[in-house]
Amino acid sequence: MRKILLSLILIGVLAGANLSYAGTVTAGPQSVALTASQGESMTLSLSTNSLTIPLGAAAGTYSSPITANVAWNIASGHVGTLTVGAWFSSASAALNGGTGGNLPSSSFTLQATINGATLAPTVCNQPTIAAVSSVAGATCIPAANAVVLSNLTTASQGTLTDTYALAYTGALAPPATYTGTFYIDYVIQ
Amino acid sequence: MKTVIILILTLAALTTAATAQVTLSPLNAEFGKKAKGEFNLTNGTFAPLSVTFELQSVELSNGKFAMVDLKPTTHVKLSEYSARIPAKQTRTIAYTVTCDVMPCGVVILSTMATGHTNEGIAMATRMGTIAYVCDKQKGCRDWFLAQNK
Repeated sequence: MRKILLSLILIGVLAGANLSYAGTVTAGPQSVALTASQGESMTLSLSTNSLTIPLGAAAGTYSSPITANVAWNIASGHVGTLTVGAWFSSASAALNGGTGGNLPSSSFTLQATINGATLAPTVCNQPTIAAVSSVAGATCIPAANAVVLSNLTTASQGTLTDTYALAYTGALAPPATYTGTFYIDYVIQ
Repeated sequence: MKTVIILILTLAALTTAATAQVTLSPLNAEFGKKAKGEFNLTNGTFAPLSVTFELQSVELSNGKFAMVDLKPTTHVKLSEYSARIPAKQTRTIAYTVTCDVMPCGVVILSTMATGHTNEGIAMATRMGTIAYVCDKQKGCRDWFLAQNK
């Protein structure tokens, strides 16, 4: 009984000591400087990385549409235009068929919906679009339709979803496997 | 049920692999006489991305922006002129620009293609980052645009 009483007294003394420390040890508020920066960016994604265009009997049939998604996060101070270009790398050899020869860009027609507006089907022999430096004579969008937006002079974020489909509208092509590259550009000036 | 979910996830991954998604940052930069900068390209897909770089000068004529052949008075060096960016990775490209005539503007065009196409048309995307170089860095872009109007 005596031991228990002494133990209780000891516990009480220690608890009291702890309480007294708890009352004197304090930490003042500390400040940490925070900085963060967000750079301008543009993201472009395509729904496919290749396209098959019907030649032969199905010539004139449009390919499955390619969907291009564009997202931007820009600061103020730009010229303010978003320009688009769609083009082949060569006017005379848009597609190369090896021994089968080449298919010129003028044998292809583009049907596009850009910023919600469906453009008239356009043969891919248009002049260059200077703002995206597309290939002269192998461009599929008329210069008049290349400027999609012209109000990006202030800081803004935005997105566009556009679609592109190509058809072969040239003469019957010799049997061969044809390959080529189709470019889609988006430039914010 | 678990099998179905795994199958759906696999299909989603394969679908994603067939697309191209690229983020470019920053879109432009302004410099004083010593122009040393860099830009980042992020491959948002699950497939490697091949990138080639092309240099052009920029002009503003009657308020309209234009890319032209690189002027002989503008000299640009890139840390690399082509790159292969692994899936979901970011590559930083460094560059230096010196101009004999101030102000000058250069656009570094990144042309990107995903995968390989044996038959048909390969799709490529192109985006550009613009470097403005002036005697003084502050307000360089505004000065360039004003000088070229």
